[in-house]
Amino acid sequence: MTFDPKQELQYLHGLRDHDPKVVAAIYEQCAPIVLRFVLRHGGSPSDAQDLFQEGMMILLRKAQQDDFQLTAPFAAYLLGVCKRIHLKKSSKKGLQTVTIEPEWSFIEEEIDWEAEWLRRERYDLYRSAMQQLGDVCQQLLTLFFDKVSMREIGKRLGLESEQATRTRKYRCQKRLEAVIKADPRYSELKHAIKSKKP
Amino acid sequence: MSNAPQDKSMWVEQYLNGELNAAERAAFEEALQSDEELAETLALRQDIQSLLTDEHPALTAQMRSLNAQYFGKRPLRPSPHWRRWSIIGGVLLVVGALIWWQSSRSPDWVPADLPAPAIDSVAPTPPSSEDVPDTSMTPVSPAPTSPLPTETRPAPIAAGFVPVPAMEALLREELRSAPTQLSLALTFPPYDYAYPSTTPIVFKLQGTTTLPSIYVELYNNDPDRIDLQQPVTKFTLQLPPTDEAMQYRIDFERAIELPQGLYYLVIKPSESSLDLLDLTRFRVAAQE
Repeated sequence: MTFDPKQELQYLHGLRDHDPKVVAAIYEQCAPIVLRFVLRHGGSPSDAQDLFQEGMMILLRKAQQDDFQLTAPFAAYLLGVCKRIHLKKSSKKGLQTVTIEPEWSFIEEEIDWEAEWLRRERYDLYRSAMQQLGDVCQQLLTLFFDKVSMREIGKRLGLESEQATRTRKYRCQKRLEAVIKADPRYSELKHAIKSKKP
Repeated sequence: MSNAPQDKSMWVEQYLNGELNAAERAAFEEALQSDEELAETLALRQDIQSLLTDEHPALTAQMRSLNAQYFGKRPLRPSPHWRRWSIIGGVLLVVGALIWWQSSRSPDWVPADLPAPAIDSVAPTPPSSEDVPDTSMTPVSPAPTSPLPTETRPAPIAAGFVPVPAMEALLREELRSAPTQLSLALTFPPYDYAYPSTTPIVFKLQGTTTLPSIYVELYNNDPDRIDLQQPVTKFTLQLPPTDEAMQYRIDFERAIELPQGLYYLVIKPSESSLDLLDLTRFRVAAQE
């Protein structure tokens, strides 16, 4: 009954391969514990949901790396990641200090937390900028990011042609970028954005 | 490039849409090396797209439905879960006498706004005959602590790792009576952490509280002692007196030899409290 990496890898690979049974099993095992943890810290079910999703996405990205190896049971890993994110958020709000103990090293060393925080901050910035756009731009860009075809987007939004949709999308995108660049957070994140691509 | 388009944003758009021919692409990529603004526009557009695009629509759809199931709004049930658990625990709770205390160490506490001292060591601590944590660091009078079974090296038992249903239910319980003056939580061990059988048991708490002390209980799943309602060990951690909610980081370790098995670590505001502050489970695994 000691830690069996092979067995635990089934969770990791199931998540990576979007196996619905495995994903459901992960929720069944871990979601209530994350919810309980967040509620105890004064958070809401919606906070817990965000935290859980974020933790799942971090592990999904890790699962997609060929060289990633689990060094703890999957559930422990996921819960550790969620707690780590939660502590970071709490410390930002000045609620708690965050000290990471040596025993957490398996989570500390195997995840590039700095990159994860930067990723989250960029995501928050982009989302908040999206919300400042007009309704049509928001809908259009959301559909575009959901990989809906230009033809279909045009149809749904009642735009006359594919070219017109393309032009509209481009304008919306420019507007979005202008809102982002006007945000004070952008200057802090600019370096991280540039170092990502190309 | 002297003939670079004036509208860099459009140029980036054409590049990303694959609308440039080979020569134009090469010109664009060359311009990228020296044109800061162009590089910034390209990087931002690619980053926005990569972060806002849902790369896993099937997974997202399933998670959306599971989210509603697990995190959706539910009626708050202010039921005394701890009482319920205690009653069930009359049938299910566990073992005390089969442990051997090697040593103990005082709980370390620090106000959270102070620089973190070096208290996170898990080095073995000097042997002590006392069963309760040393409370000498705190000016408050010691709360009652329970004597623990001592000096008895346990015979190895094969408790296995069979979960205790009531404890598992409690672990999964989402909503208990809302905590009032406290938000302390176990930060270590992580859920289902496996201690090798020879290492000291370490646990760590973090959070804010006005409580004068915290009560700790450790249960295991030994079916033979199930009727004893007896934790493997229990003790009180004293906290310094304060009028305002204080932030604490508490690291506590104790050298304790536990038989292989599944354990449940419980923290409560007091021995008689019906409320739980937190609960986790861990395993002590035989060494390979």
